[in-house]
Amino acid sequence: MSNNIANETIDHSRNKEAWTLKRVLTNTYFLNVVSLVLFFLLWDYVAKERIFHDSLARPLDVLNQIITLVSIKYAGSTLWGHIWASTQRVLIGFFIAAVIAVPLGLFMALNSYVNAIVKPLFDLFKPMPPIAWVTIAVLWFGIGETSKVFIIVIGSFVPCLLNAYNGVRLVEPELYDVIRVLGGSRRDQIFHVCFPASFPAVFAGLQISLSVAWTCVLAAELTNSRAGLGFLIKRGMDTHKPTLVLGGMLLIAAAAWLTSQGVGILEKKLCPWKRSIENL
Amino acid sequence: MLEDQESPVKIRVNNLTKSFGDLTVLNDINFTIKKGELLAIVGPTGCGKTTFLNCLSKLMPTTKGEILIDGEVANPRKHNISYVFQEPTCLPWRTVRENVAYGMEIKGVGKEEREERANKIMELVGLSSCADLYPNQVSASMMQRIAVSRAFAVNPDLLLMDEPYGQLDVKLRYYLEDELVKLWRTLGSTVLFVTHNIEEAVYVAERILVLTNKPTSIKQEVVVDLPRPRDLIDPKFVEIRKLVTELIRWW
Amino acid sequence: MAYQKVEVKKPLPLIVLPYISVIAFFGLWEMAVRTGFIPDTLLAAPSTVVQTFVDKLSNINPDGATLGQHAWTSIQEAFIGYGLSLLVGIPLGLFMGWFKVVEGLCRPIFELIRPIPPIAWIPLTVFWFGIGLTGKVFIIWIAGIVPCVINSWVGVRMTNPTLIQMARTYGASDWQIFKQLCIPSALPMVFGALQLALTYCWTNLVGAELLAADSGLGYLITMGGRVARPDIIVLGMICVGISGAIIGFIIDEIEKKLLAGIRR
Repeated sequence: MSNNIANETIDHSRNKEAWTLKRVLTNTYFLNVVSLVLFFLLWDYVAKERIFHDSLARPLDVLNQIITLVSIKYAGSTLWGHIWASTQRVLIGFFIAAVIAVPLGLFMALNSYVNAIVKPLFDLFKPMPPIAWVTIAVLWFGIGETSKVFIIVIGSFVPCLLNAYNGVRLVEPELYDVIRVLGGSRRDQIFHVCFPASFPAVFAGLQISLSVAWTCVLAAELTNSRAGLGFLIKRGMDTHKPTLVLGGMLLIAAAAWLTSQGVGILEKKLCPWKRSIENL
Repeated sequence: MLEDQESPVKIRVNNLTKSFGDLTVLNDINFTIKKGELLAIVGPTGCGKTTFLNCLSKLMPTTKGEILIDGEVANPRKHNISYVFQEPTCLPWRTVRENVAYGMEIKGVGKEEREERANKIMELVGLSSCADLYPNQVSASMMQRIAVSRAFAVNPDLLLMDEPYGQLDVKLRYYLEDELVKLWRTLGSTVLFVTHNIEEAVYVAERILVLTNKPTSIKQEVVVDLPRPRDLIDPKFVEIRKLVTELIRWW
Repeated sequence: MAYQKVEVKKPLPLIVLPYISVIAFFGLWEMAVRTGFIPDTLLAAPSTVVQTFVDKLSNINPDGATLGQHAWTSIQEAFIGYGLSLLVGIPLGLFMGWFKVVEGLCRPIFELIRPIPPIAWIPLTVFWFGIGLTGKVFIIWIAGIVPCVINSWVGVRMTNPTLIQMARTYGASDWQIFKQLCIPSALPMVFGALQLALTYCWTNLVGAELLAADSGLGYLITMGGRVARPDIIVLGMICVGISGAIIGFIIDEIEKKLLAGIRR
């Protein structure tokens, strides 16, 4: 909420007030700090008291584990190698899916014949969770890179296509009329209205795809792999090292978060007009 | 009610000032409203009318000055302040009847009295026939009527209206203005009516305060002592309307 | 926007094409396997899958349970986890949307946990709860809670600010505004979360069963892989897809009923 005086928007929460105790206690940043500190203290306490026996590591041990991995090779590569192995798979799979699915989705929405052919097949595959493909992917492509990328492509494909498709279909018809009244051709309608208007939806789809892609790569790596963050977690599970498992989880969260921020920045660059919901 | 010039002062505003950072929006405003008076406020576009109301209703803290109701500092929890907003504010998940009763519900009015007062007011404004419908089933003009009824239903100490009929077409507006005057005369509430429509102000108000441009202060007070129902083409009416128009135009 | 609905007759090809496309898909699949273009060690023909389906209804080999038992395990896990995530996630999201203190306290932890893919929890849940029901319910709970929280939160945030001001001028308390304004206006978004959370739950259920289970549809798929029976794998995938679609359809209908209830 802004203090927009021209439109007389009201905002009675942001006025300068004295720093009373209550205001400090209900300050968002203060609460955030309290919450994080409490969270880590609780985690540390639970781990220290061995409530889960030896199956939960203390936060500092996890941090130590991560630092150790940076310098020491684990199963043939350093931490950066593992992070890159996973990220590479995600990016390749995600890219392939986006390059195929987004144009296909746009095409489906614009051409009813393409739609009539592809939509039923798509609806057939849509409810199948991408992780269910893991086994058959291994059967088809072995346990190499291909099978992992394949699963990521399958997983990222659905949200990309679905959002591109809906993005075009939900463009307000009045916008087309604007072009039509000005005497624009079908081409103008598509390039000046349809594509830009569906951009935000496409990007929302990409964001979902990316998070699905991380889930998929993790599933694939947990089943079988020789490198990657999922491999670290799996190895931690097999050798019963909670520090390794938790370290892997934190790293994969960080990597997923970073890539999604990347797509977010790209989106801001490409469609700056998009309105966003505050704070989310 | 017009003749009763001696009625006690209900609202007293002393040195009301409001600034956002360096920008002063309201500058030292002083005025009073008598009990049971209908006061209109007009001013040029963007003169801070809405800010003014938000300060009066305590939605927004004031920078300086005080607002007294019956000699006490105004407080929405204690005093009955009602506010009719520019846009319709019906709760879509309540029926018309429940919407009208909503203000009373918050004020803690008992269930039976709530029913009774809601029914009485709905009778007055002709909402009885659609009392059990939901707001999205009634027309747009009804929405504003519901809000007005809800505001009157709490027997407010002060009723603030922020261009309530600004978005309606002319015919409907006359109709609703008549209805407002009827409600006000029947219930004897103290009303502060903000508008940018001069004709509307002259038509409904007892007294008009003309505001200046930002930083806003009161430019002049115009008393409208015309008999009701008022006639839009009565020479006296036209004269007052001209006067107010001139005041607004030459700030 | 009230557009009048006009019946436009679809051209014949548009009506027929979807059927042709589906039939052609299955036909090609069948042909490809029959003719040996795709070896039957890699893929089973649709007809074989149907045979396996009929067989698996009563036969417990090679994975130790009939299809019905597997499906029942999966559905049970999914629903307990799903129910718990709704139970925790929706109130949490609603409170976070309105009460600044709750948001300040819960948001950092939520943001910390949100980017972790739910199946990354599998090793920990195996350590903590073993490979039984509890561990999988935990994973599904984690998966379902994220959309519940986000949707309810956004729903509360989208409450019309003028309505809140209106209530404030009548002197309504924070709690009254929350109860009478924020929750009703967030409901459509909350119902939207039902479907979303289900999809998340179902996906992650399969993941959890692939990795740590001794029964369930995901386990059926894994076993199919282990004994190199493509027909069982495909059967498992199809069952997961179909049951997911059926549950999704039911939730969708419930959602429509609920929405109709508040929109009247």
